[in-house]
Amino acid sequence: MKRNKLTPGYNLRWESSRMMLPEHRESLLEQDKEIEKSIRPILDEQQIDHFSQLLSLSIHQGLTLKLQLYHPFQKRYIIGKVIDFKHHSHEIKVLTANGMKWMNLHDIIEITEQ
Amino acid sequence: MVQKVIFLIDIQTFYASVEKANRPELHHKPVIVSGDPKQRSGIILAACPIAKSYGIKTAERLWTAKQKCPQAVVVRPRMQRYIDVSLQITSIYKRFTDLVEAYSIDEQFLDVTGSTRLFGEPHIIAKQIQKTIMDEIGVPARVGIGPNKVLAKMACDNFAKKQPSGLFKLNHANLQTKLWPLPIQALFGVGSRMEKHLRGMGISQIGQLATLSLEFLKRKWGINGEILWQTANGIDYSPVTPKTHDQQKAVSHYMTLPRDYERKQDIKVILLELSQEVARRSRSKRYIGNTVSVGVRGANFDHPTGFYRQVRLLSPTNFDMDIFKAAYQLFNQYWDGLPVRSVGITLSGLHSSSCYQLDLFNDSITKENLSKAMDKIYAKFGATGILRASSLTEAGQALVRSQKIGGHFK
Repeated sequence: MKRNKLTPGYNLRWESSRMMLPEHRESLLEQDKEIEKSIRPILDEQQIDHFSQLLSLSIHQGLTLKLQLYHPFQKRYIIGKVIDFKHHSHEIKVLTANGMKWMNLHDIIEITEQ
Repeated sequence: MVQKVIFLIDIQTFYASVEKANRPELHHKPVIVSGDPKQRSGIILAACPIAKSYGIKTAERLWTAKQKCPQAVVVRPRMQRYIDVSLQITSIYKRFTDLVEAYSIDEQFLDVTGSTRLFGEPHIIAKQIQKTIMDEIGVPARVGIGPNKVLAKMACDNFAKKQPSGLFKLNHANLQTKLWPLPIQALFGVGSRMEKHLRGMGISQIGQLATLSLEFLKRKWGINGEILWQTANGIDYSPVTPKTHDQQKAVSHYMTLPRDYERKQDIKVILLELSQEVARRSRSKRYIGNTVSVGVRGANFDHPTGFYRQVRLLSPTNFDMDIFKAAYQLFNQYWDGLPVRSVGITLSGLHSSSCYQLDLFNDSITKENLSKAMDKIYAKFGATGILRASSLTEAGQALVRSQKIGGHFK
């Protein structure tokens, strides 16, 4: 059935009568989004040690890892094996099911064994 | 079932209160916020309670207001500031409940049903919110309390505003003694036309409408008749919906012209500017739409003319010229040739622009590339970074308009 202003549980009667400036609506959505934004975590030394252990196990013994990458609004993961790294630029090369990827170590916020 | 506790909180004479909070020296003076008297927007947007005590009313012309109270301090509106303050108030509400729904710039619904364990009885929460807003923003808030939105709204509009405490609770226990004796125009949703209708039928009080047969009202006005009956009986099943603004149904732009436009070539310029703005905003939000509507209002208030028409496009678009062509065609078809006061264009039937049906006969790749290039310029230099030459003619409004919100300067 088509929803109308009388359909219980919906907000149509208020949506059709409200007065919202488009600029107000936009800023409101912006503010809501800001609340959901996550900040980049600061990693503990021991955690960094643990990460480098896992990374070297991956590069030397072929361990498959699940890496979580920082993103303000999403949870991003990459699953694969580390096959190369560049010391000077803090980058690692990961072989995933979809091919190779270079990524910056600073973007990694969590590593687990897959 | 647990009875819900819904608040509708409104800020007293919002724009005027914000200005007063900002300038303490105005505290005991009559303050009115008004648009530029040389322009169409030169009407009273808000008058503080002191100014109102001289008989000044919202929406009257500035010069008549000044006759009533020559010593009134006239302040120009600062729309961006009011939006910012409104958002600050929203975040104060969110300290008390996550269920907050903005209804207008100065009215918001709160569902505090689940907050009573944390903060106490409804009226204690209401007082605490009032105090927080006064302490942090410096503006007075009034709270209508009810078991649903419509009772909260009417509690605020009809009662809380008149209480020194700024609080009022309307529920099914006091509905008949408090709400029903009020005149019919005090019912939420009854405008001046409906009031005339109802009075013509001999209905002058809310209670009379509430006790009419529902069947009769349904036969007469359909869904709207039933809504009125429910409102008069304090029934409303709409939840406070925080995500209500997420879903966009249409992108539209409306403009009241600085003077009446009479020549088609001038109105054409405005149609093009509006199309461009609608297209730009649709693209920036990644929407594509298949319906274009045009609304035009005539210049003569006493004999309202104009039209509102829409056309469905063969394929969805977010390109300015596609929207313009459809809009211009509608305009040619329905314009009566009389001077025009305001024009608006809406793109609706929206869906995501990430995938859409390609039009075989329409070169959308070229248009897409052109739009992309323009969007890059907009992103870097703002909405007036690139203009059509026609916007630089005397009829053009794009430059002035970019400095305004809701028809008033930012």
